[in-house]
Amino acid sequence: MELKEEILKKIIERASQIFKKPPEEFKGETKFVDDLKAKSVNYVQIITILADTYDVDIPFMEFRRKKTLGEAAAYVAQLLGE
Amino acid sequence: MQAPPASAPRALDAGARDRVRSSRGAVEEKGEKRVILGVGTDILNMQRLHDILEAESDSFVRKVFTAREREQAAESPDPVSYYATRFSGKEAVFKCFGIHGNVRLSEIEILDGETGQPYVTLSGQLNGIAADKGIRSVLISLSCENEYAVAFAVAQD
Repeated sequence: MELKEEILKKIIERASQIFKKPPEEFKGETKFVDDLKAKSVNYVQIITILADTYDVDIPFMEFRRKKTLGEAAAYVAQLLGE
Repeated sequence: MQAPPASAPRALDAGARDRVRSSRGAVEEKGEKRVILGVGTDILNMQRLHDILEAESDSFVRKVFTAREREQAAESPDPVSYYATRFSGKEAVFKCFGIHGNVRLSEIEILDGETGQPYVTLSGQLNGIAADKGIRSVLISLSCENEYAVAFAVAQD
């Protein structure tokens, strides 16, 4: 599995727990704010699990600019050098 | 109770006496005019943070709060309120900077001073961004009541 897809899967797993919806309801196009009504603490929750899993430092403000789960996954993959 | 007339003298604390707003919107501090470069506000549902702290406290707290903030939280009679007001405060500070970029929440430290009044210390890249924007200090006010924590930040030169 491509790293970006692996990260997206991880984000969806976490988003499913945070927003209490089945993983099937999340896609790369799912929007943090418009679809999930995500708050700042929710971004940190996702950053925390990704940082711990991939041992990468993820800047909060840049991560929070990402509109969709897919964009967030691509950003983290980029941080990891992909 | 009748409201005091607008012209009634008001008691000012030592800090307030040193920071008197002028009619032009600048803030005078010990005779020196300070220009407001940005304001930011934030509100946070404390239950949201309470749930997170219960479920994933260590990792979340280490990512967001500095060692000194964690020390003060541990000494606080109500750590959830302490963390909630700091989190809201960090958001308010970000907003008054009006920035995006490679900045971490832990680069904003909000501690209680000796009198309980919170103060902001910046570090890392945010310190450099502040210098580039001409921001020399950030004032912060925090409060919480029942469900919500609120914060208001002012960046000044």
